[in-house]
Amino acid sequence: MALTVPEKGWFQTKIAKDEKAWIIIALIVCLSLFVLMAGWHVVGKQNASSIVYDTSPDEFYKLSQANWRKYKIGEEEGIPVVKPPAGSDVFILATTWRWEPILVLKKGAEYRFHISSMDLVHGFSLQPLNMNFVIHPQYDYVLTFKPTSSGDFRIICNEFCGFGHHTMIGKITVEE
Amino acid sequence: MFMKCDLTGFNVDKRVIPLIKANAVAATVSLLLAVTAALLVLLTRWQVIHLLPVDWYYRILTFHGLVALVVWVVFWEMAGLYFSSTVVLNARQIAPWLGWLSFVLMVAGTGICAFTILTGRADVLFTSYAPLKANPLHYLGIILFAVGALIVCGLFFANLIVAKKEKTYGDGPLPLFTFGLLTAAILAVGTLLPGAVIFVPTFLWSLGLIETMNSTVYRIVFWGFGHASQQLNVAAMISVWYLVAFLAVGGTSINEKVSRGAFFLYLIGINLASAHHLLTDPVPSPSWKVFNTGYFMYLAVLASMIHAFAVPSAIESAQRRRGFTKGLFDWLKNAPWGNPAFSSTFLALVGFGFIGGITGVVNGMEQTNMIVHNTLAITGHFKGTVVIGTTLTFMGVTYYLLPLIFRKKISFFSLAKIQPWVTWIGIAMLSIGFSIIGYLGVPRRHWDITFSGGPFTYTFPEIADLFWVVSVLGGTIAFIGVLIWVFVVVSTVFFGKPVKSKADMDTQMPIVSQPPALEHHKGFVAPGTFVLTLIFIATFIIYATLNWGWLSALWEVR
Amino acid sequence: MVEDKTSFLERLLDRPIALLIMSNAIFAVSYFIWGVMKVWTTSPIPEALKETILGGK
Ligand code: HEM
Ligand SMILES: [Cu+2]
Repeated sequence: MALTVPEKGWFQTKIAKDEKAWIIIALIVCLSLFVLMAGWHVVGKQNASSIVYDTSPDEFYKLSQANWRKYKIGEEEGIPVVKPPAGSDVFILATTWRWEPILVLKKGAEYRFHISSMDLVHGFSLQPLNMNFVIHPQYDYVLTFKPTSSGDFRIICNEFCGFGHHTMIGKITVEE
Repeated sequence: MFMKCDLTGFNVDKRVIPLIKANAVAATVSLLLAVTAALLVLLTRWQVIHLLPVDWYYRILTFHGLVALVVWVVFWEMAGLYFSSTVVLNARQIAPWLGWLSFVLMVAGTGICAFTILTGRADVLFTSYAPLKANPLHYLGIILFAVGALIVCGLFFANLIVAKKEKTYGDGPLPLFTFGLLTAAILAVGTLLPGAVIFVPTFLWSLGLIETMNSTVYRIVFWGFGHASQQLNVAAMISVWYLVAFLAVGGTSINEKVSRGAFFLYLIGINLASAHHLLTDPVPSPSWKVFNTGYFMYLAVLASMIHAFAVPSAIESAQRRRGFTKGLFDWLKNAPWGNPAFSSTFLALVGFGFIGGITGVVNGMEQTNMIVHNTLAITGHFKGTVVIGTTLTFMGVTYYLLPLIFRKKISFFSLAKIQPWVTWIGIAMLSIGFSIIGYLGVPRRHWDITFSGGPFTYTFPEIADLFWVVSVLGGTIAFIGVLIWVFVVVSTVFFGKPVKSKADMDTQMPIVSQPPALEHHKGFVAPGTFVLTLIFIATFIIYATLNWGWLSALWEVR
Repeated sequence: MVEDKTSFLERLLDRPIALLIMSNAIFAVSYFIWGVMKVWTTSPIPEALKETILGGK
């Protein structure tokens, strides 16, 4: 009874058949979810990375500049266009309110993305795939991506970062 | 000091009634303000109208988040804590003056925050992720509010201890309703302390006394506050479900041990789920993420599923004992649907389970979170928990509060009867609409999804336009639902006819007597509920499979 | 004594303060302390990696 002290012996009352059956079903589902989540780290191909480094905006900026200089192939809207070789490290910089650089990648190749922010927390949201990651200042988030589809992609910011938040949009092109 | 309630027989401490009333009134006012803000935000998000300019969109959104999620819900819960630790236990209120002090602190805190937000001094949204910085006053407001709420939790524990010592409620454990709210109060302490822990240094930082705030530590501790406070809403909401099942159909949990055990599982594991806000953050590590959102959280998920059986089966069992034994669902068909507290509760239960619960578990898994993090699907998810669940439940049980505490007959009772349905349909549309839009990639908290002024453009899949219409329609309907509720509540409190006798109560909001005891029988006690829960689990499995299938088609990432 | 027959869990459920401490201790250790420890123990970008990025042509 919700408003009164339970009757004596409440703790010894046997659980009804249907309630027991339901609890067992629910428990099995819960445990499977856990196994799925842990197991996906072994068999799955989409897992947030465990690699992250401490950095500073200064250091990360310097590394990014050096990295882009090596592989720069042009410029668009004042943003460098960078085409890194397969298997290389790629630096991506989030600044209020810009994603740099524009990337040209190859389908099926692997790239080690290093992503960090110069100022606030930003959201790395890859469209139209809809893959989303949180980008912090002071941390180099290392995500190894392998594009499995080609075409034009956008990086939009989906963590509020001030009134220009909606203008924060970047580009990735994946070639066959 | 005490008076005997002629409707319930409880020994009521007269000093606690004004405290309950004050908190309930503050809650109602905040809900009205919050949903008004919501409508402005919604009409801005819909690009067809795009109502507010950019600065006001974020300000009103900050206001909506804070006032709805924190102020409305917590004020209401404070009223619940007073009620459950005194009235229900025939107990006295310890130090009512402290209660008034905390009420003043909470109102002042709310006022300060409203001021900083609406004057453009806190354009940081209610999460205020450092290094975004607001005026120090804003953090001070939140601290005052949290301290006030913490004091009320302290009073709740003090009331329980004294009541037990003075044996005001008989010899034995707490009634289930109070035990559930005890769970909520314990979770509340666990959420308000981190709240203080994070907002005090943030306050000092915005004053310039501390040099830097680590953005990751901020997010860990903030969500220890921000999410755990939602878990306390869940515990409070479920306690109210048990209460309404008892009042409206005389239903009692078919096994008290199971129900209490489920609350106990909440105590062990549910707060850890705060970790699911950080699933796509660089730190902490995957093992921390999997453990906290995973194993322990599933104890809490298990607990919710147990309640999802226990509450409807309490209703079913009572109804069957009254003679509604035909078929699987005769009991449900003949339930007191004309009682708005009952219909709110049952609708909240269904909505919370099928919309909030299913999306919550799947969106909160480490890998599938990647698809929805910070998209509108998240907003869709918590509209299915905190609005269709908690808010609708609290709105519903208010219909009992009015005759019992305010001693007024409900005015415009026919409006009150349709209000739960209107609100439910609206929120369900809003929630499902937002979820689908979110899966299409549309971010939450975003003024212009055509990216005007940016270096590139992007157009979301066209089908999103359709679901924007669904969402806007739903949001508007929900808004009307809340308005109806506020109208009924206000006109009842100010102009309602007084409740003079039990007969006055019985015509609208009867407190139903206990059905005959259950005779021993071998089969299922609640076959209808069992079927409903099987439908639930099937829906869940389909939804989870779709998500994992989607995930496996994405770019590879490790 | 009848009390002796009540199980540990039954008694625990009737002790608000014990529950308060238990619940929040688990939360503090598993979520906060472990989490913040993880933040403190992140390492800087390896020198070798920095050199390859900064060096070369
Ligand atoms: C008529 C009812 C309501 C409508 C139409 C509504 C609508 C909305 C809309 C349009 C958003 C903004 C999405 C965005 O732009 O990111 C939003 C956010 C939100 N709503 Fe509501 N809402 C309603 C009631 C409530 C209630 C009752 C609560 C809490 C109990 C609530 C809690 C929230 C929260 C926490 C957010 C997120 C704020 C943020 O992202 O900072 N809403 N709502
Ligand atoms: Cu941004």
